[in-house]
Amino acid sequence: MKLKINASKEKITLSIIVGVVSLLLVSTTFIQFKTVDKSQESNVEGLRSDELKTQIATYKSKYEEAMEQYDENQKTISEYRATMDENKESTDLLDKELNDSETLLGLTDVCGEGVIITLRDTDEATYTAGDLITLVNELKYAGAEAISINDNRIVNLTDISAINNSFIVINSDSRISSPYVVKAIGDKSYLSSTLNLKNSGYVDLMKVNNLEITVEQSDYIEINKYSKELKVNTMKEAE
Amino acid sequence: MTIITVIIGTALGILLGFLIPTIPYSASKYLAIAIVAALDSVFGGIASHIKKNFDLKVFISGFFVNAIIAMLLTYLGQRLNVDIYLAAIIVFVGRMFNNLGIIRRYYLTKISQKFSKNTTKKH
Repeated sequence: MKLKINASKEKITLSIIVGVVSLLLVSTTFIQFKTVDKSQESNVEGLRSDELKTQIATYKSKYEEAMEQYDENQKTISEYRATMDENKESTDLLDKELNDSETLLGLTDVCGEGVIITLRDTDEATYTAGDLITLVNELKYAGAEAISINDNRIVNLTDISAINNSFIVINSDSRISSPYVVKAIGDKSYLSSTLNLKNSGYVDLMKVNNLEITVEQSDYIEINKYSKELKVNTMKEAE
Repeated sequence: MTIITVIIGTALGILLGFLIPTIPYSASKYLAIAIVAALDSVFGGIASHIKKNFDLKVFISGFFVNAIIAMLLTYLGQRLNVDIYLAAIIVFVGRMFNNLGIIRRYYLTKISQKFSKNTTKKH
């Protein structure tokens, strides 16, 4: 009986020890599994030096690749810059052209030397639309670069016409009446001398008709821009 | 009885293994060599049990002392910049295969004996 108990006691001890051993073994093994798994998620602090070396080598090659890429990109950027500069030049040129065109078209306020002609109806006679057209033509002929009548800018589409022979309309809808102040920018002496030609000049022609006209030269005349919109409905650029 | 404690120990071990946080990677080398040493002891124990010369004291001392010595040797190797743990692994794994061979042969003879018994019974 005692022997049996002793035997079973031994067996129990053995079993317990074997159990503890397996517990230790399995738990450490699993800890190790976990550690190895985690270390593969590249936490630099826990790595060994040879692994670090290989990683450094990898990063170095990666870095070199990235540097190459960077250089290439830089090159492309500088190319783009060069193109941009070229574009800027052409843009500036275009801007200048646009400004010139607008000035020529009468879409900008301009100033300069020129003449101011004041026409006034008298009791005996009145100015007609035709008279104004003639004056504008004369001025243009004399080299006027910008003309306005009572602050209505004359542009290429300007019309001056009489409605019912009673009032004069300029730029389609602006009614103007005496006194007509005509401003013209151009060579002031040439303009005034053209208008003041003896007998055949505009001033003399008007005076013959008993109309009042004064021409004064000025060093500084301001002419406002064409206030309406220049619209193109029908015409297109020919190809 | 022994099998039950082994199963319980294994189950608890898995649980503990998941609960205990990971150790630093630099220490995992030592743990690995300790595991290999312990495994070697376990297989040695099974083999000696088969050979009927199993001694609990030898087994326990082998289990712990081998593991500790293996770790110490690994540490020494680290300090000396010689991979001593490789030698330890070779020895342990070689012995593991030896013991596994003994276990395999034992069960093979057991199975073949059973098989021949069955066939003689049939005749």
